[in-house]
Amino acid sequence: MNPRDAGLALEGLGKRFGETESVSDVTLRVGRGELMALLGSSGAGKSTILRCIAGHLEPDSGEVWIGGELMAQAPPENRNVGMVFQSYALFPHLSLRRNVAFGPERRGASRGTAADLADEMLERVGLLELADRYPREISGGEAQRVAVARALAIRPEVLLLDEPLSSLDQTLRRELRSLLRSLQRSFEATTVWVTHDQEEALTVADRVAVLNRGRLQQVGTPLELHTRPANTFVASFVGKMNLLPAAPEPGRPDTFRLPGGPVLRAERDAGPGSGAAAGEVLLAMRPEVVQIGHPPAAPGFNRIGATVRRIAFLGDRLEVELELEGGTRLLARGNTLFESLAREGDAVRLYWPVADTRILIR
Amino acid sequence: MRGGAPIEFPPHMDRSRRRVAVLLLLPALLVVAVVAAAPIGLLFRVALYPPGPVAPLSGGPELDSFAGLLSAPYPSVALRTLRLSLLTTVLVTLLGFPVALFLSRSRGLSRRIQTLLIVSPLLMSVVVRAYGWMLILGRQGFVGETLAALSLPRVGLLHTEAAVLLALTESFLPFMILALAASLDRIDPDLLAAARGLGASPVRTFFAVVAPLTLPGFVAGASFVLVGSLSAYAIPALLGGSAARTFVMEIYELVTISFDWPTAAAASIVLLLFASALLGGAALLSRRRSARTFGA
Repeated sequence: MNPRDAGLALEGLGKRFGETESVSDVTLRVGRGELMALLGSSGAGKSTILRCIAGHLEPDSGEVWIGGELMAQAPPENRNVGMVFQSYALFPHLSLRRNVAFGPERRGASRGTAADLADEMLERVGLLELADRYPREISGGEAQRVAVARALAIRPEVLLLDEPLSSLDQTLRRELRSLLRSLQRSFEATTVWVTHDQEEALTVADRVAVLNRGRLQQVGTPLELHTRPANTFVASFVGKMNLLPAAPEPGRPDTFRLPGGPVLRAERDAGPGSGAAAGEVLLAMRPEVVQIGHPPAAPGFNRIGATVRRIAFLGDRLEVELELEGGTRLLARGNTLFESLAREGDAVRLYWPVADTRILIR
Repeated sequence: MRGGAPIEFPPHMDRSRRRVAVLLLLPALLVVAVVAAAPIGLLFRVALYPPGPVAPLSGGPELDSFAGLLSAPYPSVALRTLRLSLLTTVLVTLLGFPVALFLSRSRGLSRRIQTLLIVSPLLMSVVVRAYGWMLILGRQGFVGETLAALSLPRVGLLHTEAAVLLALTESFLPFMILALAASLDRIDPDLLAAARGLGASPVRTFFAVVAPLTLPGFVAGASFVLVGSLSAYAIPALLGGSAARTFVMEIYELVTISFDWPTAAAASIVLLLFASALLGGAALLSRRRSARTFGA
C-alpha cells in the first residue's frame, strides 16, 4: 500500500526521549476505514506513536501521512484526527453537549449548529438525556461514550483510541467494545486502537500491530498472529505457545531433534527459523493443537511419547503439562475428554499436525 | 442547615470524640474572641459617639460619625483607594499569569528554586521594600539619576499614584502567582491536547480551557490582593504621601493626629464591611460558577 492510498501511514517513525529510544523505525499502513489495534505492554511506545500521529509530539525521524497527505510539522489543530484519551479528558467546565460541540465550533460551525450536531452525536451513543450534565456528574462508562462522541463529532479522517476501555469493569468493557466497533464502522474512520489487552485486540481489530520496546514485531490479522507468529515475542504475547529448543538435522531442513532424542517435523518454510543454524531454533505449537491419544494413521502428524506431570482444570478446558523424553516440557489443552485419556504419572502418546508446527528463532 | 450546632462535625465522629474536639478548639476560639471579636465590638461602640476630637468619649449613641464620611475628602479618597486596589489586581493578574504558567510546568528542584525566588520578597518587611522603591523612584534615585545621566529632565515618580500602584503590584504579585499556579497544577495536560486536537489554536485553548479552569485560583488570589491592597498602609504612606492619600491613611491620621476616634472607628467599620462583602461575593461567585465543574 502506497502511503498516499492509506488512511494512515507511518514511515520509519522514530522518537527518543533523552537516552531512551521510545519508538524506532515504525512503518505501518492502515487502510481507509480499517481498525488497527496497536498491541503492546506498557512502555512499548504505543502512546508515543499516538501522540506523533495526533501532532502532540514531533517525531525525531520518519513521516506521518493522514488521508494521503504528509503531515510535516502540522500542529494538532490542523490535522483531522479525533482522539479518545485514556483519562477521557472531558472539559470539566462544560456540559456534555458543549463538550461534544467543542470540535465543530472550533471548526467554524455556529453555536446552534454545533449544539444540534452534539445532540445528534450524544443520541448515537445513547446519552442525549444527559446532555446538560457536567462530566463529574456522570459515570466512567458514560464519560467514555461522551469522549467517543466528541472525537467523532469532527468527522475525523483518523480516530485514535488510547486504551479506551482500560478503566472500566469487565461487563461494561464488552458492551462498549461492540458500541465502539459499530460506531467506527458507520463513520468509516481509519482507526488505531491502542491496548495492552491481547484478547481485546484480537476480538476487535481487522489487523493487529504488535509492538515491543518501540519496535513493530508483526502486523497481521488476528488469525495470522495466532497461527503464524513471526517471533517468540508475538508467539507468547498473543495467547500461549509451546516453545521447544531444537536442532535441525543435518541435510534435512524439515526435521528437528529435541534434547534427549525425540524428533519432530515442520514444514519447510514454516517461519523465520527455517534454515537457521543449530542452537538457534525453537519449535512452536499452540497447546490447543496438541492431542493426546492414538495418532491417526495418515501422514502429516508429529507423533511423540510423553509422561503426564500435572493436570489443571481451566473452567471449560483442561490443561495438561507433559514431559517428553529428554526432559522437555510441553503443554496441551483440550476438552474435558482429556481426563479419560490421561492421569498424572501416565505415559501417553501425543500427536499434532506438522502444519501447525512453526519454526522460530530463539 | 441544622439548628444549634455552630461546629459541623464529620458524621463518623462519636460523642466523646466531639467533646475532645471542642476542648482542643477552645484555646484558639478564646484567642480569636479576645483579639478579634472584642476589638471589633468596641469599634462599633466607639463609632456611635459624636465625631470630633474629644478627649473623654461621651454622648450619643448616634450615627453622625458615619454621616461625616459622606463629605470631603472621604468619598474621593475612597474612590482612589478602590481604583488602586482594582488596578493592582488587574496588573498582578496580567503579570502573574505567565509566571504561574511557567511555574506549573516545571518540576522537582527547578520548581522549588522558582517558588523560593517568587516567595523571597515576602521574607522582607514591607517597609524595607517600600524604602527600596523610594530609592529607585525618587528624583535623586535610580530613575532620576539615570534620566539626568542621559541629559533628560530629571523626573521623580515618588509621591504619585503610579508609584503606589507599582509598589503594591510588586508586593502582591507572589500571592497571585501561587494562587494561579495551584489551580493550573490541577489541570490535566490531556485537556489541552484534547482541545488542540479538536481544532483549537494555542490561544483559543488558553481562553476556552485554561482560563475557565483557573477561575478558583484567580478568585482566591484576587480576593486576597483586593482586600490586601485596600488595607495596605506602609506602601501608600511612604510612596504616595499626601499626593495619593488612601482610606487607611485617613484612618491612621484620624486616630493619631486629629484624635477623632469616632470617625476613625466609623471609617474602619465601612472598610471592614466592604472587604467582607467583597470576600463573600467572591466566594459566592466562585462557588456558583464552579460547583458543577469541581464539585462542592
